[in-house]
Amino acid sequence: MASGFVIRKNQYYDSIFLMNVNRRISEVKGVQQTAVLMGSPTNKSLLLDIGIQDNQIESAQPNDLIVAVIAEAPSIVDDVLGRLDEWLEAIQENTPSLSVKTIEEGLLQKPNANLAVISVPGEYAAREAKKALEAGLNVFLFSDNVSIEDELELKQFATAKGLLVMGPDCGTSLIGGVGIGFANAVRQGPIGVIGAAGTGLQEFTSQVHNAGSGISHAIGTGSHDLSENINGLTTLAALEALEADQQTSVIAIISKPPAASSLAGLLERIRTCKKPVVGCLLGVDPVQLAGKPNFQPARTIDEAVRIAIAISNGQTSMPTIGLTTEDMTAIRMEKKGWSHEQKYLRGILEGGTFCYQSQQIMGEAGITIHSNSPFDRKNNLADPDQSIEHTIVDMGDDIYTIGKPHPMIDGTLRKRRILAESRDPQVAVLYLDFILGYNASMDPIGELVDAIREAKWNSEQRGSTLTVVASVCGTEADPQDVDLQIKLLQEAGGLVFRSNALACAALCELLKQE
Amino acid sequence: MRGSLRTPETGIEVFVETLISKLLSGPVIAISLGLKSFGTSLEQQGVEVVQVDWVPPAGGDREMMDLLDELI
Repeated sequence: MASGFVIRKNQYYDSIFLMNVNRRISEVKGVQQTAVLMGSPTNKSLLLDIGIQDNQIESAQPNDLIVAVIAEAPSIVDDVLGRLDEWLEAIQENTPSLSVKTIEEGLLQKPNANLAVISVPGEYAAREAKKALEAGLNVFLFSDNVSIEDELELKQFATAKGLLVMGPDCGTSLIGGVGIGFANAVRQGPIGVIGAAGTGLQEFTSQVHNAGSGISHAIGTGSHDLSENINGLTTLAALEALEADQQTSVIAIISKPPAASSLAGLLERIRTCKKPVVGCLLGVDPVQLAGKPNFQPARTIDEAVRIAIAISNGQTSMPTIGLTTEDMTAIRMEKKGWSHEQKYLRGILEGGTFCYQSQQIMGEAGITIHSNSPFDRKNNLADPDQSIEHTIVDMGDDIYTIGKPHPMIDGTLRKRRILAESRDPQVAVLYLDFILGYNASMDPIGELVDAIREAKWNSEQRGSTLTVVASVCGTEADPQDVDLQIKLLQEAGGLVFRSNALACAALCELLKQE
Repeated sequence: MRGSLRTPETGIEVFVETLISKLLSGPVIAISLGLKSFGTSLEQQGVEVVQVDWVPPAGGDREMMDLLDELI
């Protein structure tokens, strides 16, 4: 085995660009591992983890590009590194040359700008967000790894200036039909939604669209907004804005488990809101939410969608969508193929909200799920890479994304996990979620379909059937072809559902003791 | 000024425009810094965008960045 690296001083690229270069290099025959990254301290420690170390790397700066290659032979390493400009140019050809270097310069070009979309590395994000707020811009802050102290300071500053900070760690928003970050293409309509849960917001907006209604605005708040430190500063500002927004007739709130203090403040504000509010607050005891004025609690995102649409249409309820007779037949057929050993579920998810909602739904059915993002701490996985009994892993968790792209844009880590789980003869069901939309992988299912086929084949070699359940979040207007994506899954033998809650209903049936 | 719907002593609701309500009433006009694909996807949706060619300030040197901030 041979290895080598190249450092380019003062040559900065963003993480998606680097991922694309990395992907191209890793496809070269004989290349075993590659790392294409900037010289930040975190990235340098990742290089150390794969055995690449040198004084030059130690002294590299965050503005310096590092490309490291491990390959079968020195000639392959030399060839790849010798053609570095070729790799960079191949990706760069579609990128226009840019002349604006700062937010201030950007404002000279667009003095009427009203939003800063910030996705720089976390250590610089608060500084840039502060500059944007000072310039009178609302902020969509995609970056994560921003301290809670910085988040609080930014949100208090924004409150004082009458501005909105969506984030940090905000994956998605839809403002007047414009999708920001990882958003789905949905029609405009009467339902406004606020979400401290990125994929939850995507699930809600997609389902509203798929049910024939539309979204006025979907405002992401960042995952920590309803923590006890932040106390829902952005959620409250968004609620006030949607209350006044003429397009919005009903407001929905989707959240991962909120802190008790934040929840109390939120319910109090909802009480006086002039528009009806629907909420899916995962992890909150339904008893605690029952009978609250002007608030209709929903157990799942699907239920929140149905209630919101019904209210906006002036109806009292909408029919519940459950498993069909065909679904039940398919489930029975799958179970017939299982060996006596097969009994466990392994969920390999990209959506954090889906990981929570799955645990809630299955927990209510009496199924204990272990996870790296557990609903109940006692079910925490000591090693996220080692599943125990029924396990659902959130592959979008920080431990999997530091220095690496999110699974919504790169399926490499999920692919490996699918194959690893399929080698366990006790595994009966794999559950996968797929999230389409702007900025997500253009072929998320195509990326994993070979791994799904191989996983099923591994099980067949043992004389058994591995059941694959999948949920697909997206709309027919998304940049990916949703029908084609679903067809790919079905052809690979997957049972496909159009929501996480519906897929969980199928999982409950599959795991039900006969 | 915060807020949007205000009910003064007259009892009639008046709409107070804020920087947030201006954003919601649109159109979105964005300055994007960081991932270029985020700016590109906004452009593809017909949004006016300025993409900032962002690099870590002061070569990523934290102390130097703080010093620069103090000078500005």
